[in-house]
Amino acid sequence: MARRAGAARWPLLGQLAGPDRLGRGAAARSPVSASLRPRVASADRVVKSICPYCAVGCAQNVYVKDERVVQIEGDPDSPVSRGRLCPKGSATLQLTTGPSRRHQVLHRRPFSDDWETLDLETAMDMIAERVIQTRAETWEERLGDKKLNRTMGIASLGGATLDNEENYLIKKLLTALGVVQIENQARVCHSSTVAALGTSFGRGGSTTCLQDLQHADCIVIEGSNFAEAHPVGFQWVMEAKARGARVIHVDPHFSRTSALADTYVPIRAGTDIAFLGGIINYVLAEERYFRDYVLAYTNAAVVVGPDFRDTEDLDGLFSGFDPESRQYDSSSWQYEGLELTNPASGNEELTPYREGGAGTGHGESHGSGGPALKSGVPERDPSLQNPRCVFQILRRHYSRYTPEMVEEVCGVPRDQFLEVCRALVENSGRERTSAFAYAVGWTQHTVGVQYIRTASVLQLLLGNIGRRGGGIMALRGHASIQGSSDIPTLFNLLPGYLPMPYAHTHERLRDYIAAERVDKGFWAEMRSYMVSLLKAYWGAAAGEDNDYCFDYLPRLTGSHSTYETVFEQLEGRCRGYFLLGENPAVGSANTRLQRFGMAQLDWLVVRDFSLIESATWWQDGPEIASGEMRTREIKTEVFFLPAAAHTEKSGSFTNTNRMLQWHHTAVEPQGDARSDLWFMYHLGRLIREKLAGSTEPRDRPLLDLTWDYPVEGPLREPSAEAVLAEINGFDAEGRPLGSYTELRDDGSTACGCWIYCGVYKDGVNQAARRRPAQEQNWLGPEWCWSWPANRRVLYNRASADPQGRPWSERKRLVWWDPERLSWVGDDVPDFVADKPPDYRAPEGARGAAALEGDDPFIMQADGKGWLFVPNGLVDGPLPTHYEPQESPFQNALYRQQSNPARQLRPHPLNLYQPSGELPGSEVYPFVATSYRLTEHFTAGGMTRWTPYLTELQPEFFCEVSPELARERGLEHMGWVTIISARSAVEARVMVTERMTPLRVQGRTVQQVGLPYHWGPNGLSRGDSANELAPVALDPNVHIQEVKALAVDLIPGRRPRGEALRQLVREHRRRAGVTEATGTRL
Amino acid sequence: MASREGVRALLRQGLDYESAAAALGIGAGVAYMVATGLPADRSDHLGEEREGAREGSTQLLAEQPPGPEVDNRETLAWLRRRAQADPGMRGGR
Repeated sequence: MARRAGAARWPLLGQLAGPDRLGRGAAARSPVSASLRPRVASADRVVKSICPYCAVGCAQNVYVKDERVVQIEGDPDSPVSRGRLCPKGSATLQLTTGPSRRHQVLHRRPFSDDWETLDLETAMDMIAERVIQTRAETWEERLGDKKLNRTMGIASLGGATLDNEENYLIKKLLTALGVVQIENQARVCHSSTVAALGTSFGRGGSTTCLQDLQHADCIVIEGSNFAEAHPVGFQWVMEAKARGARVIHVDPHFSRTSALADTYVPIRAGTDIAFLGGIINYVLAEERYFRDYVLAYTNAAVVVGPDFRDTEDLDGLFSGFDPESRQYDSSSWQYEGLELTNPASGNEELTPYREGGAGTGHGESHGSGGPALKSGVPERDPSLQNPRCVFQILRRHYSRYTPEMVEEVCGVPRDQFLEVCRALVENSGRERTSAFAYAVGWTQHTVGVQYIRTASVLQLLLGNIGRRGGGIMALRGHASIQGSSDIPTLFNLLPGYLPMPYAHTHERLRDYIAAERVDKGFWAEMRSYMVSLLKAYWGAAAGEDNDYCFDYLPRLTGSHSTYETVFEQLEGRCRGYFLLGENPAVGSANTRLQRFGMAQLDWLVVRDFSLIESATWWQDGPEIASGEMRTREIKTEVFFLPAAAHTEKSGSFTNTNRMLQWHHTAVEPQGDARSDLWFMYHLGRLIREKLAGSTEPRDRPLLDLTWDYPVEGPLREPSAEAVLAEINGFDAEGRPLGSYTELRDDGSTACGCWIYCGVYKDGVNQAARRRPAQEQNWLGPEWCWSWPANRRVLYNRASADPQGRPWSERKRLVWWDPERLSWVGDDVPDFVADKPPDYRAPEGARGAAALEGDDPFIMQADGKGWLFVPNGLVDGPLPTHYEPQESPFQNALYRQQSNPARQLRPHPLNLYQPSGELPGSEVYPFVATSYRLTEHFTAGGMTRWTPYLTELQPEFFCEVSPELARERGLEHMGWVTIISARSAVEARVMVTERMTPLRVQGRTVQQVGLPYHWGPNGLSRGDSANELAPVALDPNVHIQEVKALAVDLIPGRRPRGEALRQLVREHRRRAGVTEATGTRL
Repeated sequence: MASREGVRALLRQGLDYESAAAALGIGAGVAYMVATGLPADRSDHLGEEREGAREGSTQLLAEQPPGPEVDNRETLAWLRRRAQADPGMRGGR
C-alpha cells in the first residue's frame, strides 16, 4: 500500500493516473515543489524602499520576518522602474545582510600596525575630542582685514550614497564648525552637469525624466553606457525604440548600449565637442534649426558687445584671456547695452592657488538660478542678421567644424557623421523631438562643462528643451548624488545652490545678495531663500539685527574642492578627515596621491560597510607593498565606524531626474552600525556638550545652531522626517510651507533648502507617496515628489508656442487654456500658472513679475535659454574643441592645444605627460578611457564584497582591439601592464572588436578600455584604473579628466615592490617628464 | 484545485479576488494568477489586457500591506515647538 502511494507520487505516474493527465496543474507539482512557499509569502511585513546604487532610483519592496530582512524585490508600482532591478539592485539582500559587512568599531592608533576594537561610545567621544582640538589649533579668524571664521584643518568627503537628510546634517554641522572642505562624489562625477545645464537653462538638473524618453523620436546616447550603467532606466530607451525611435550610441567603447542601438558610432575619447560642434554646424549651415523656437526662447537674437573676439579670431582663445594668470576676464563677452554685475563667476582675488592657474568658478551655484545680468533690455536683432548677434557668432564659431574636420579630429567617418546629423534634424521640430542622454563620459574632462554645454546649444537650436520626448538626460550614478548637490555636501554651495560666501566679496548679507541675485525670474528672490536658510540653521539667534547670522558662515578664499584638500593634506594643513561612504583611494583621480595625502593626517574617520581601501591603505596599500610607506612610520590615527544600510534607516534619495523618494526603516542596524544621520547628530550633540559655556566667538555658530531633533527608538536615532520637515520649511506658527513662493526675507520663515520646499506640504511626506503608476498618468505625479514644485519635465512652458498652443498635437505637454485662464497639461507647469502667454512685464517689474508670458526659462536672468553664456563660466561663452590634457594628437582646429584655463597642480606625485607634438608624447601612444560595469558600483565599496556580483565580474580587465593585441603581443586572458606618468597597473587582457581602431590625422589610434571599480581589498581584487590618472581639472567645477588619458601598454604583469616605481620612472625618463611637463598654456 | 474558470465564475458573481480566493481556500494572489495568468506582484510583467486583470496595483493580493504606518504628529508638534522657540519669526526680535 505504502509502496503504491509512493509510486503515485512519482510525477509522471501521478499525472497519468490522476485527473490532470495533461500535466497543466497539480500533476506538474511534486510534493517538494508543492511545499515550497515564496520567501515573501511568510514575511511579517513589507517595507517600501529605494535601491541604494545608481540614481535611476528603482523602488524596492523589503520583506521582513522576525526582524530580519529576508528578501528584497523590485516594486512594480514605480512609474520609473516598474518592478525591475538590475544585478546590483537584485543583490541588495546580500549587500545589506551578507557576512562581509562590519558591525564593530575599529581603531588604529598612530604608528600601530593593526586594528583594535573600540566601543562606539568611546569612539564617538574620541572623535569629538579630535574635532575640537584640530579645529582650535587650525582656526582662521581673519585673513588681513577680511573675516574667515573657518578651519582648514578638517575636511569631509562623501554624501552621494547617503540620504538627503544626512547630507543636510553633515553640511549644517560642519559649516557651524567652520569647516569649508566639505565634498562628495558629485564633485568627481557630475559637477560639470550643474554648471553646464545651470548656465544654459537656469537649473543644473536633468531637464527631463526617464519615462519621458519613451516619447522621443530619436535618442542620442553619448558619454554614457546607458544600458549597463543605468540598466533599469534604459527600459525607456527601449520603449522609445519599440515605438519607432532611432537610437544612436556614440562612444569609444562598444557595449550593450551600442548593441541595442540602431547606430553605433565609435569616437576618439576626448573629442565630443568637435563631434557635437560639427552637428551644430550642420544644423546652421543646412538651415535645419527650429527658427520659431530659437527666436522666441533663446538668446540667439541678442547682440554681443563689440569687444568680443571668438576663438576663430584668436586661434583657440576668446577675448579677455590673461596668459599670466590663465584666467579670463569675461567683460568682453557681455551683451550690448548691459553691464556685468557678477564678474565671471568666482575669480576671487584671494585665491591662494591663483599662481597655479586655478580658477575658482562657482558655476555650480547656478544649479537653480542662472547667472546674473544687469537689469535693462539688451539689444536684439530678430532678423538674426547682425554679425554680432549670438546666432551669427555661433555660426562663425562652428563654421570650421565640418564633416571633414570631425573625421580628422574624432575619427568618425564623414558618412557616418552625416547619418547622425540627418537623424537628429529629421527627428526634431514641431512634430518630432529628440533627446540626449549622457553620463560621466562627458563630465570628467578638463573641458567637461563645455561638453554638456555643446549638447545644450544643439538641443536649443533644434527646439528640444522643455518638450515631450526632448531634453537632456543627465544620468547620475549614485542613489542621491543629485540630492547631495541640491542639499550640497560641496564646498562652494549652500542648500538650493545658494553660493557659499567668499571672504572679500561677501562681507555682509547685503553684499552677498547684491553680488548674486538677479532682477528677473525666481532667482530674484534669493534673499528670501538665504534668510530662510539662516533661520533654519540658527533659529532664534538669527535676526535682522545680526544679519541673520550671516557672519556665522565660514568664508571661502578660492577652490577648496576635494583635490585641493589632498594638497592641503600633503602640506600638513588639513589634519582631520571624514570619509562618509566614499573611497578616494580607488575612486578619485591619482589614487596614489590620495593615499599620500591621508598618510599626513592626524586622524581619519571612515564610515562604510566594509574595510575599503581608504580605511586600510596604512596596513596593506600599494605604497606599503612598494616600500614607499612603512606602517609603523605612519602617524594617522584611523577610526572605522560601520554604517547602516538603506534598509536600516529612513530618509530620502533624490534620483537622476530630481525625484525625492523616501525609503523606510525595515530593521534596526546591528552592532555598532549606525546611520550617518545618527553619527552627525550625536557627534554634534557631543561637541556642543563639550563646548557648552564657551565664550570663544568661534563657538557661537555651533552653540546657537538649531540641533534639537527628536530621537526615536533604542538607538536614539534622530527623526529623519523631522529633518525633512526642516528642509521643507515652516512659518512662524510652525506650519509646513507648501511652496518656495511662500518664503520671506524678513525672518518669518525658515527653510533648509528652498528648492525642496513643498516636499512636506500639508504636513505630509510627499516623498513617501506611493500611488501606483498604473493609477495615474505616465509622469506619475503622485509617486514621490520632484523638485521644483513636483515638476517632472523642466521648462515645459517651451512645449507650447509663444501663444501658448502646443507646437503640435503629437508633442503636447503643457499649454495655455484660455477658458480656464491657466496653464494645463500632463505635468505641473514650470511657469506661473495663471500668467497668460501674451503677458508683458510692466516697466520696472522685478522677480517673477518681470518674466514675460513667453519666457520659459524662469530661472534665467532673461527668461531665455542661453546659446551663448556671457557670464557664469570661466573658460568661455561657447564650447570649443580642445585636446585632453594628455593626448597623442595636436589640436587640429586651433593652435591652442588644451583648455587654456584648465586647472593643473604639478607636483612630484602628480606629474603630467607631454601631449600632441611635444617630444616624449610617443612614449604614451594609446588613448585610454575608463568606465563602469553593470555588476560593480563606482569604487567598489558596495559590490566587491558581494559574492553574487564578484562572481559575475571577478577581475579587473582591459579591453583592447585585436590589432593592438598583435601590435603589443597581448594575449586574450593574459596580462597587460598599463603605464602612465603616475603609476602602472596590471589587468587581464580582453581582446575584443568592441574597441575600434580609428583613423585620426592620417594615422591609426588605438583605444584602451578600463573599468575602474577595483582595488586591493574585498572578494574581487585588482589594481585601480584611477592610479593612472592625473589631477587635471575643469576650471569651472574642479572635476578631473579620467575619460581620456594617454598610456603605454606592455605585455605581462606589472613588477612588484620598488621595481614598479622603477618602471614608471623609466617611462617618465624616456618621455622627458618633469614637473613643468604638460603645464604649458 | 482552483481552475481559471472557477475563479472567473466567482468574479462574475460579483466577488472580488479576496473573497473568491477565500471561497476557494487559496491566496488572493494565487487566485489572480490562476484567473489571469499574470502574477499579482507583476513580476516581469508590465500590464496587458486580460479578462480579470485589474487596472491598478495588484500587489496587495499577494503581499502584506506595506508598513510601518506613518505618524506625522510628532514631527508637526516638533515644528510648532521650534517656531514657538523663535519669537523673531513672529516679529518679536
